Amino acid sequence: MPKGVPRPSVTLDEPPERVAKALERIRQDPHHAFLHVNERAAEEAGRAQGMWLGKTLSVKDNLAVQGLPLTCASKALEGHVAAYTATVVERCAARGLVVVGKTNMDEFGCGSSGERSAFGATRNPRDPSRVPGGSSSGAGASIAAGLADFALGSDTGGSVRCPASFCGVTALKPSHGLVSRWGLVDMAMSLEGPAPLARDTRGCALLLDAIAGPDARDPVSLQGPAIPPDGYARNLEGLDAKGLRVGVPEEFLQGCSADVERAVRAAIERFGAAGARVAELAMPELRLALPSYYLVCYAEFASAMQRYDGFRYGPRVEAGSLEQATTADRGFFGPEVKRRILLGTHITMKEVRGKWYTAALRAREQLGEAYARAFAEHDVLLGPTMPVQAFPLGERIADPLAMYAADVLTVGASLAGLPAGSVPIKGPGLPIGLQVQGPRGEDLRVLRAMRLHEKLQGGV
Amino acid sequence: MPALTPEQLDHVARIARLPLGPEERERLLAEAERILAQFGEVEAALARPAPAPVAHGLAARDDAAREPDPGAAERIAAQFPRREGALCKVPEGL
Repeated sequence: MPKGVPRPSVTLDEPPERVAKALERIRQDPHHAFLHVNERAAEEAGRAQGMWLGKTLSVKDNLAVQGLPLTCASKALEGHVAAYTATVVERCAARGLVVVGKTNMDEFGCGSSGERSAFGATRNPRDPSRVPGGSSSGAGASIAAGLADFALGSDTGGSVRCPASFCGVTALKPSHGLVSRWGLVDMAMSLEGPAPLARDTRGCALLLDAIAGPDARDPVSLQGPAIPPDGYARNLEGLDAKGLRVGVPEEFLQGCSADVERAVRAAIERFGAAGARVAELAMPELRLALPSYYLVCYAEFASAMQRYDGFRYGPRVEAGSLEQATTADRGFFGPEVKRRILLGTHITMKEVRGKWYTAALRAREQLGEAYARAFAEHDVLLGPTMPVQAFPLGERIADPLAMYAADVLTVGASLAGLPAGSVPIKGPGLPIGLQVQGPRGEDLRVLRAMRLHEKLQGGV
Repeated sequence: MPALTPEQLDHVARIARLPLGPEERERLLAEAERILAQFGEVEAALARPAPAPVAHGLAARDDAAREPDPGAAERIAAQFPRREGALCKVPEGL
């Protein structure tokens, strides 16, 4: 092991046959975490080089891996194979990680439960009668079920934090622009980005070390936050709770279930008992986060989805005219995808733009200002990742507003481009995640606070 | 006034090239109404009004078809740094 490199949460120097065994477990997975298995993975492990030789990586099926399907869990892309590899996957492969398969997800990222896949829902490994969370449902389940050492998902409004919370694993939504989006299927470009999931904070930090940094193929990343000189994993330890200023927005705990509130308050009290200065604060702008997020998301999503016309992408449908062919091809979209395209197209029309979309942009600006004021007084903000624990399959699928409500605590950080992580709180029953938010560019601070939580609650 | 009328839904669906069956159309109309009614609170709840010292309209034109301009393609192609007829020549990429 190179000097100074912290030992990761998994053992190094295991043989590549490990990958073959991992593939066998994936093929027998009852949770439907994977859509596609990389049958070349064992062979690739034999050629891999890097410090993580033989460690396995699952990749959400909206990130391109050359030669593997890229479907976004949609019939509109059924049969499509990626012609190139996403930057984040390339960077992981350069360190020896082997892609074992593409994970299930809500169709085109439209969902928070894992039930909107056109190829069947993923089940929560902690309780198969419940949702794993979404939209990176398979990514979260792959870690929770021990099917992969690391996972790459994407987070637009909570899509790695939600499954991390529901499945009892760890995830980080990086600061917007820190990680290249080249090779990520576009959903909402001002909100989204690839994001790491792992069993613990150290795993997330190691993966962030691999994927963070500017990429000439994603101009936004060229103006992204600076990376710490020694990276994230090397600097993970040593955050002293004494003097840490912890803010707890009162809005974060409103509307949570009793179990979630109890567990999160206990976790926050451990910070206080260790010497942190814990204070509640009011952030009334947070109540506009959910509607603002969805309005912005609808608009950007409708734009992003225009490319699926049956000619550049998607199955070709023979019809009498160009318009009929395009319309028929777009009939392959699922109901939530159609709903978002319709609403996004509607709210950006000239006649009504000011009522919803422009208002949402102004609310987004005010939310950013509110976060800036909060971080002038506090180092990190703590609260629950999700207002509830994993709900039963089928409970919310028929009511879009009930499904959207699950994102109420995660969308704020997305709108403001902040780093936000979810780390499990130990306890009986279904998993509960503690969400840690920090100022934009302070991903290391967020990771260190997540690591501190792990140590305060013991066992890691 | 409803947030989205049936005529608006049909218009939006045609613009977005989305086929809608009759049941799907009714369901989406009801859902859109609920969603936009709930999200419409953003404008009302904003702490301060939008600054508008000078009245101005949006720059976008009406959603109405126009007659094509026959000379437009040549005018645009004339600005290409390298061209082949009406096509723009670009360096080989992916």
